[in-house]
Amino acid sequence: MGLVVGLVLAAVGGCARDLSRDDVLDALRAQGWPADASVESDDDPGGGRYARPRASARSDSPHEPWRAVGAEVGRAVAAGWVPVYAQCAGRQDSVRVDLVREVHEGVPATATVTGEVVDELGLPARLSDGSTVVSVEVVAAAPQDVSDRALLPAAVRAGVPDEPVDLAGCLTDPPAGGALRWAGTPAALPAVGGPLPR
Amino acid sequence: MTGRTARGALAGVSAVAVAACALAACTPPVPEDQTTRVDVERFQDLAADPWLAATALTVGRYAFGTDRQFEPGAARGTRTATGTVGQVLTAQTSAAAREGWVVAAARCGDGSGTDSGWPVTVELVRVLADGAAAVGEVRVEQDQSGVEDGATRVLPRRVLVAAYAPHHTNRARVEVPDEPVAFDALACLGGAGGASVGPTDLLPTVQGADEAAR
Repeated sequence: MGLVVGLVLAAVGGCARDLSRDDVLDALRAQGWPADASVESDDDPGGGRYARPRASARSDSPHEPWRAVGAEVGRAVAAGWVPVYAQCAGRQDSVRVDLVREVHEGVPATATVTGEVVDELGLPARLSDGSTVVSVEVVAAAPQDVSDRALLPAAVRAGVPDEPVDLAGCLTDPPAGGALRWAGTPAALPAVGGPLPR
Repeated sequence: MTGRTARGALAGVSAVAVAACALAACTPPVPEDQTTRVDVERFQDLAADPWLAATALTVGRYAFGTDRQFEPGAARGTRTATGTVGQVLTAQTSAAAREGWVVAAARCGDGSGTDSGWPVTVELVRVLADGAAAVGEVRVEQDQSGVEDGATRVLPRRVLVAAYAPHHTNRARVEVPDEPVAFDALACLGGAGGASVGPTDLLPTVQGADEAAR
C-alpha cells in the first residue's frame, strides 16, 4: 500500500514539475537534425525579456542556394520537421525556408534554413566567385512561451501543422529573374523573447 | 586574514552594497503597461509579413532605465538579390506592395553615420490590422568594388529590410500615401531628381522619437 501511494505521489510530482530551460536544451540536443549543431542559451537580458534555447549549424556547398537549401530541407523533413514558409528571388540569390516541429511535449521550435552565395569575405558574390553557405538556426520556445503563447509564430501557436507548404516555387523551379517569390507564412522565433503582455 | 584586512574587506563590501542600493533606487520601475495586447497584435502582424520575412523581432516595450519612454515593435531581415541598386529596390518594393506596403519616401545616403555603406533608403508605410500604420524601410548595401558606377552594375547585393510598429502609447499618426512615391529619379540611382523624395520624419514618428508630433 505504502509503495503504491509513493509511486502515485512520485508520478504526480513528475507531472507537476515545471518545464525548465534545461529540459528544452536537452530536447534540442536529442534532435536528429541539424547535424553537428551547437546548442546553447544566453542569459536573460532583463526587463521582462528572456533568452530562448537555440541550436545552429552551418555548411558550405558548391551548388546554387536553392539546390543546397533543398538538400538541407530534405534532411529536415526526413527528421520530422514541417516546412511552413519559403522565400527566394533569382537562381543565385538567397533562399530561405522556415520549418516547425515540437521538440518536447508542448514545446514548439522553429528552424530557419538560409542559403546565400558569399565570397571569402562574406560579401554577396556570384557562384563563380564564391560558394553557398547554408545556415540553420533552430530556436525553441522558452518555458515562458509555453505558459503564455502570445509571442509564438502563428504557425505553432495552436500546435504544429501537419500539412507542409509547397516549396516547389523556390526549391524546384526558382524564378529566373529577380522577382521576389514566397509561399506560406514566416515562422522564425527570435532568440530573445518578451516582454509578455500583462 | 588579519583583523585589519577583514575590516577593510567588510568596508569594501558595504560600500558596494550601498552603491548598488542607491543605483537601484534611481532606476525607474518597469511600467505596468510596457507591453499590452495591442503591442502583441502589431508584433504578430509584422512577424507574419511574408515580404519582410523577419528573423530579428521585438515587441513594443519600455526602454529600460528611462522615464516612461517606449520602443516600437521592430522586425528586421536580410537577403541577397542580383541587379542594379535600382532594379533590386524596384523588385523589393513591388513585392512589398503585394502585402499592402506603399512607398512613401526615399533618400540617398550621405555616406556618414547610419547611412554609411547604404547608398539609398526607401521607406514604406502599411496599415496594420488595428488601423495603426507601420513604417518599413529597404536598404541596398553599398557595392564593395569601389567603382564609380557601382549602383548601375548588375551584381549580387545584400538587402536589409526592417519595419517598425508604433508602441501603443505612441499617438502620432503616419499618413499612408494614396499613390506610391516614385524614387527612380534619385541622384544616387543615376537620375536627376535630387537626394530625397517624400517626408523625412516617418521613422522618427513611428519610433516615438519625435515628441513634438504627439
